[in-house]
Amino acid sequence: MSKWILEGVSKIFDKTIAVNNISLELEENKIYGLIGRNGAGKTTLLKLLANQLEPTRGVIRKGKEALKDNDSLSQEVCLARETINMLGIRNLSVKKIFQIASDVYPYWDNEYCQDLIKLFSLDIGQKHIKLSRGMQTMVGIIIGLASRAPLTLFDEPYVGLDPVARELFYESLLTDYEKNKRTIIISSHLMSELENLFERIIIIDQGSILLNEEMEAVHEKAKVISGDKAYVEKILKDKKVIYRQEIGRLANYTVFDSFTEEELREFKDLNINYSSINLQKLFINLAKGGNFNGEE
Amino acid sequence: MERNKNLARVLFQFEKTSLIIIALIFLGNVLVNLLVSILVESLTFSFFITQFVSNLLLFTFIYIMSTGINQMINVIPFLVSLNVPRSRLAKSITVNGLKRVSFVTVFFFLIKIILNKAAYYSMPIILGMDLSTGSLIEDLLLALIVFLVLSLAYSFIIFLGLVGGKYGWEYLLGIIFIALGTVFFLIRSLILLFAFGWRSSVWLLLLIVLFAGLSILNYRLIRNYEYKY
Amino acid sequence: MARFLQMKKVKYLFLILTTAYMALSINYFIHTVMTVGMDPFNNITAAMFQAEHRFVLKAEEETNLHLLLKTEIGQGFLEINLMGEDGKEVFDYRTTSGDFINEVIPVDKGSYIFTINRDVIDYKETLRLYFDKRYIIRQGMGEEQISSNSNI
Repeated sequence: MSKWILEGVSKIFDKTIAVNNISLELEENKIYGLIGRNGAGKTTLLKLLANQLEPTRGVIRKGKEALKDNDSLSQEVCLARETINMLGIRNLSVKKIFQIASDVYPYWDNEYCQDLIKLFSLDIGQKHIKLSRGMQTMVGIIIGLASRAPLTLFDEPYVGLDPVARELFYESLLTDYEKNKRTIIISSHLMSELENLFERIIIIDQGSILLNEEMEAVHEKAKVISGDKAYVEKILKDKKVIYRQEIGRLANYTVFDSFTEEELREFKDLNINYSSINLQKLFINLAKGGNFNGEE
Repeated sequence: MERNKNLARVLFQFEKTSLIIIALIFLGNVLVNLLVSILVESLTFSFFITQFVSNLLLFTFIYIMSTGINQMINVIPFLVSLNVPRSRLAKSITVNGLKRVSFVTVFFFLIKIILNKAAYYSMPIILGMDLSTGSLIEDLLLALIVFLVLSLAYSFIIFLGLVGGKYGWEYLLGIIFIALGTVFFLIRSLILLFAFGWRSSVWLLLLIVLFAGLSILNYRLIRNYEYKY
Repeated sequence: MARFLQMKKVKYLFLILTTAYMALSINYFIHTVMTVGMDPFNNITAAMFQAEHRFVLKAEEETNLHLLLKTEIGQGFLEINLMGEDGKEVFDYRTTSGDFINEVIPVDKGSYIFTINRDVIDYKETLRLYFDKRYIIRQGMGEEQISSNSNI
């Protein structure tokens, strides 16, 4: 079992650093959430993993095999997008697009593709350009799922989807994942719904990784501590504070660290409130200017 | 082998529509010319044949160029986005072009053979060759020239698109300027070539070298193609 | 290499240089076109054609003439002759039945008389004579022509 490894990967477009020196290891057969603001570098990172962009610096490999110029390794990756940008392709019917995908992906499951078409009630006779936004996203989702690529990447796979369709996608993904394990990365900023899907979370901002952690650890460590500033600051002296919000004497602290039972008792004694924070709130506080060094 | 056949089938999917449209326009053109040559007294059947051959040349050139442009704008980006193995894609694009050009060349060759038999049609003199002699060697040479010119045009279009996409419109325009500028600098030699076939073997060799060079460059560029959409 | 080519300064430098190259080539083209001598440039169809056409070619230095000729002759003859000022024949050609020739005629420095003599019936001619105007000056000598139903 080989991991996908990114070593010092950067991608620079003209003067814009889209991905900045990212080093990452992706374990096999896990569902990753890739979270970040617009323009954080999520899509660029996914495209680099899919070998659709060339890193300016660094190496991407699976085990010891480098991805660059490696055709057989590239075929293990599928990047499913919410739309197709080429006008000539969009004038093709959905049926033809699936036919092309089936000819191209080595692990393609046509039966599963047909099941998904029925499930999403997709009219495959229609030209892609005539589909609604949500339907176009469905085409991308179906390609991603039916490709059965060992590394499947979904770039914001909920754009235009109604809640029912989103639910169908999550169910299909999980059902298939249970039967046919593969590494899945879903890029998103719709965390509240997807949080339960993710086994591991990667938060990216301005091309750099802010957090790469198991979901369990995130649930355990991400907390909001609020109370008297003087007391709380004393207790959190050695803890990883990622965001501060002060209102007079009181302050809210978003913390990402472990606490012992004793420390939690001390909070109670000092009337300091603490609670778990969900992924969305954690991400928002990070995005507001917080970071894992506690600087603002 | 199976996957290569699949890719060839995929590539044909993309050009079916443009092929049908171009064929229909060509046939419409031929029909109009035929009617004109029948209805207008002063025009002979020879006029129709001249128009037919000119249209054939024009539309096959348009077909080859439109195939190249379509592959550049739609096919390569889409298949890269589907993670088709780059080396296979690069080879398929080149081979696809060669197949189309070969088909067109053979078609032209057969038309030429048929016109050789129809003695009333007087052939022009091109590249210092009298095409009415019906010499097989000259016909084969002409076929080779048509093949190389069309292949070069196809490769050049793809090259322009790949360079422009990867490095920017400045390089695309610059390369067009270099190509046009070189044609202008070589105008005397070109006049001698087209009228008298002067140094045609040198030009043939140049075409072969250019075609080979562009094919290699296109292969590398497709291998390193970046899907920036 | 890719990063170097993607630098804005490099891109614009390339564009400027190639634009200059194109401008120079257009300038060269305009001047060169003037120096291309294609005379005579004939496409003749005639029921009958009888004429002698002569002119002088003055070569400033060693150069080549290119002659392309395709004829269909029902009856009669066509003669082409290139003679130096010393009376030496550089090129001589005659056909009575129609032919196709594509010749390169090297000429040294000096004056030459180019003569085309036709006395034909049911005649078709494609004639191209190329010379470089930088090195050769063409001067007319007058011609006699008796023809009917000719199309030049």
